[in-house]
Amino acid sequence: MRRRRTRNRAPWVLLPLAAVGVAFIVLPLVALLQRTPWGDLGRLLGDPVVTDALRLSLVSALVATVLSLLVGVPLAWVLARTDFPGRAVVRALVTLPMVLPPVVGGAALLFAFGRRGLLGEPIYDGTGFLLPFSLWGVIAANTFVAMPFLVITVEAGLRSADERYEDAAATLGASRWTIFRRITVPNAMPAVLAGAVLCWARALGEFGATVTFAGNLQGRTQTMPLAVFLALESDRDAAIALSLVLIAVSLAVLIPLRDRWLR
Amino acid sequence: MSTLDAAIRLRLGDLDLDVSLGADTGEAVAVLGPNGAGKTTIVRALAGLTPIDGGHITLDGTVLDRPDDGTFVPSERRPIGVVFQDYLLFPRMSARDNIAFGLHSRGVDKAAAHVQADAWLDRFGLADHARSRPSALSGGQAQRVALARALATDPKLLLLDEPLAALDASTRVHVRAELRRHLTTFEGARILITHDPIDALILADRLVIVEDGRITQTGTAADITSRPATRYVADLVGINLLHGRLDGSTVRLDDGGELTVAADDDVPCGDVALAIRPQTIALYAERPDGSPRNVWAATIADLEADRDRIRVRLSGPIDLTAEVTATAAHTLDLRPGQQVWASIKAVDVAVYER
Repeated sequence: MRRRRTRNRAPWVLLPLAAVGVAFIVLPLVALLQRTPWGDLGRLLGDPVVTDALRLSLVSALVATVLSLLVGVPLAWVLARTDFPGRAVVRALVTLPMVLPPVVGGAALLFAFGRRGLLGEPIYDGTGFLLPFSLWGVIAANTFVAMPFLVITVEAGLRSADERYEDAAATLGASRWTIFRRITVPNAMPAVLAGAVLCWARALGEFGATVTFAGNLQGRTQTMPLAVFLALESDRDAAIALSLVLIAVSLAVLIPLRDRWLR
Repeated sequence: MSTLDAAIRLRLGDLDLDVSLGADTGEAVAVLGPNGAGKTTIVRALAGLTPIDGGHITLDGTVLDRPDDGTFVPSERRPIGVVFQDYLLFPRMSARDNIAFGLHSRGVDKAAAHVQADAWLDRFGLADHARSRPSALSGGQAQRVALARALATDPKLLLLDEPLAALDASTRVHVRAELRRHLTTFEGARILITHDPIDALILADRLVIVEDGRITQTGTAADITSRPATRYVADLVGINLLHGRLDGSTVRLDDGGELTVAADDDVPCGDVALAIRPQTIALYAERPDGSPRNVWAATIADLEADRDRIRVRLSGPIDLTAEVTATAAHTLDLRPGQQVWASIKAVDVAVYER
């Protein structure tokens, strides 16, 4: 009877596998809820450690997303629309932070922007500005790790966009910049938004590069994941409360956006 | 003086294009050919979207593209308007913004561009659709917006790439007549790309047939339909072309005889041309029943076989060529000198102003 199956009915073998997939993700969350000290939750969430970490996480993830958009969209355009020697190498390098252990990324950032770093040293000598162990350090670490998610999403969106609209705009006298601004970006907007959401989500959960490059100073560089990790050692209830906040914030953003932009 | 003078040599994948094209001010030239012949590449080369490998493109004495001396004027600086296949209206802009886009890009400020765009909308009967997104427009409306958008920048040359291909058969006749009327208001040269001989006959003064990257025939509609140079042209353009005077829904033919046509308000009474595809003429041994209004007795002057089809030349009262399958010809036992009944439906007669 397999031939009579309609296209939208799932082959039976997929359903249990899909269920296993969902369960694998949901079960740890249920376990977390089961261990939650609901009575103490109000006190735990009012703790400055939690509020500081939440504020830092939201700010740094948001700024990292904005910075990623600023340079990531042009980068995606160059990778999608131009041909130059070594493009394959550049594409691989751009996606490297997705594969690299974030700790390695953080260490590399230190060698680049640290007080004795490749670029950090002349900047520090000239201006006294130091990127590591500051909020900007957190943002740099977030951007380093999260931007590739935006770049590959937007690049794919640009590749699948119909370039003939840009041709039409050119025959109407539009300059390249006008075409990019008024035709290319609006046409690729679903991909840009999807990329921004992925980038933000990745930045929010960033741990390794941040702790290596920006340290773990409460109120200055201690984001939610760092605070959770630290609390797991000392105060398990606080760690659970922090995790719940992180999950709640993530879901609040992902649920409305997932269906619309991340298809 | 020739407005457009182009010799296009271009290799693109499997396509090896080598054609010369010209168009005078006010003249409409149709480039007709099968898919893959290089028609769209011609549009892209003229518009500056694909640089040519050899030859030249000159418009009003200005060189736009000449690889020999490295001259290349980019698309955005060519005085050429393009109506693209599928129209390519910007999906996130209203009809008004689509038309204003070119004006705005060429330095007209936003308010003035909107005023001019509204004037175009008005002129093309689209005043009620100024704020509509392209997805809310019918095929015919979208085509008019595309035409207005191309004309708004006041080009010297207008390129139309398959302007009717996106329409279904029922709206096609109406939109074609409308397009013809709007195009006559444009004073520059026009190049029309199409694979449909009826479009070419109705919308152009002169035809250029392109097959496999080469021009195989050029001439007026009458030249080409009467003396098709290649098998493709014969198949495609082997269309009956008649002249007469339209009165109501009857056309009195110049060479004698009458044909009833589907009344169409877009064609005013007076001198008209008729195009009839040979395949739409039906032949019978006996007078057919039913109600086709155009039925007449004709004499077979000549038969010409081409593989499984037979072209039948009919004489008197109307000289026409019909085309039937070999099987049908065999069943009817067609032979020269024999009398047959011919019929054609009124809707199968394309009428246009002369």
